[in-house]
Amino acid sequence: MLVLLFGVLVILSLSTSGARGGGPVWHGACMAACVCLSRWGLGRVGPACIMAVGLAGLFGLLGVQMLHVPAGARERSGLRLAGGLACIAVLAQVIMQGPQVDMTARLMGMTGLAAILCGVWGACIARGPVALCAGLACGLDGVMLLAARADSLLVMGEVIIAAIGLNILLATHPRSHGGAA
Amino acid sequence: MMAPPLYASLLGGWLVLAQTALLVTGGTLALRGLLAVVLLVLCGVGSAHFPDMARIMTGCGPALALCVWVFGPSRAGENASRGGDMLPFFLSGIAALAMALGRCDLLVALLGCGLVARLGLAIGPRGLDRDGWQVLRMGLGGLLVAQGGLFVLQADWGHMQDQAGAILLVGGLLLACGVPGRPGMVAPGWNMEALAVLPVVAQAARIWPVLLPALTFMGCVCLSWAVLSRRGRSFLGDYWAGWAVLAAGLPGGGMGGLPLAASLLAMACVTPSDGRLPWAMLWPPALPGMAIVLVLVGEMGNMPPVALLAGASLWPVMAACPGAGPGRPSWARAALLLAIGCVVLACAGYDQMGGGSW
Repeated sequence: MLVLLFGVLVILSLSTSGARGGGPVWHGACMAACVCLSRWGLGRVGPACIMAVGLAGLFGLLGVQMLHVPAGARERSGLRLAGGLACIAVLAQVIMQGPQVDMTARLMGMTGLAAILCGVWGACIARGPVALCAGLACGLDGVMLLAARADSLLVMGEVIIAAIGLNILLATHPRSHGGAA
Repeated sequence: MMAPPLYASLLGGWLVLAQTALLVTGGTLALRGLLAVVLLVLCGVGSAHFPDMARIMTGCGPALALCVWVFGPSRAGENASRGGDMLPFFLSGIAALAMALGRCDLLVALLGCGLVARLGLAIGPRGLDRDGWQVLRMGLGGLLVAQGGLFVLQADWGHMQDQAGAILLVGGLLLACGVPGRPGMVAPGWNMEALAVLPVVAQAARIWPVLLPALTFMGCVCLSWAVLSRRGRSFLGDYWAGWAVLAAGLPGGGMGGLPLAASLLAMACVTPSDGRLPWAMLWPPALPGMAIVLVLVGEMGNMPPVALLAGASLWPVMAACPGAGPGRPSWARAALLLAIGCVVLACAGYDQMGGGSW
């Protein structure tokens, strides 16, 4: 019961904080916590954790850039759903240690898929560049979760490169009165 | 006969050499032709170890598309930027490399390289232009979905989850290729990704047979999309892309991927400049069109609804207004199409006579 209440609190905090650049940062932090906790539970803390934390940092940079580009707050429902699922996955990593590792891994995979689908859906219906980048960042979080689950360093590297590319693209966008692309 | 690692490293060397040479010399027509022919010969020699002719034809697809673009008739009045001139070379080299490696995860990585090249060309003084954002949305979104589907397939969770993963993988890859709906104008090198993706996916369907119904479904979706799109915006390559996806979903029968090879060759011969061919060229023996239709209908003997739907979707291609194209294709293109049609018919006839694999 306490856990459920905590989860609802987390989801509420997410849905109120996602109006501007906070969404990707929060989502990336959840993803990094999830990857690090699962790795720590398996006893294999390695480059995957570093890459996940680095990805969260890159999304933090993306969120800071988003603050400077004006955008409407219409297309965030899909991101919120994915963010709620990410929080539940983090909670599951915290709670279920030990014999139910398989189940948490499966939940992590499902969360990754949901984040990909919600992120790409959000990117498909987005009008401006900010919402588009937020959706794609959410999808990249999902791919990172799945790659950490499948232990694939190649895909993790691709995700990092894609996040750097998103940062570059948003940095080249004009700051003054953008958002009309 | 060439070992696959040597082939892949030669392709990588060609890629670096071609980009360097084009950058240094500015890309004269002779140099472009030489590079394209070298790639064609390299692809032909590299795929010569495949036992059947269809696989060899498939392996030469990107190089053939590059040759058609380089020697195409509409190159004279076009003044594209230097980067836009280099893009088809880069994309075709990447496509040939992806087919030489033949793995789905590396395919996603190489498609990502092509996406980076396209986006790098689309960055202007005011950031990405409108088409650039659209390319980013479709390309990166499709790659993310495809990667998710690939993870589900590799995790082997169960039959139902595998089906979902197959739909995600095929749909994401097609979205990243821009097959179902292309934003803006059709640019040179539009077909390179699809030419690389479809053979690799058809090859992966031998490991994961659950990909076949997903490919058939997505082929029907692409064909109906091409049929339903507005008349003014319809593009002949979209029909061939739908046919190629449909052909990739055929179960590997006696003909060994011949419909896929034929559809991909037809797709490689369509350039964005002339858009649609005059309709007289759709009849035998002028085009691989009729040959492919014959082969496909023969292959689809056990799938009547699919054959019916595909036949119905072929009607707009046939009815596509005669004489609306901007100009007559040159005799070289007509001869090329004629030769390909004859090759396809000869292959089909040889296979049906019991020749088996070449």
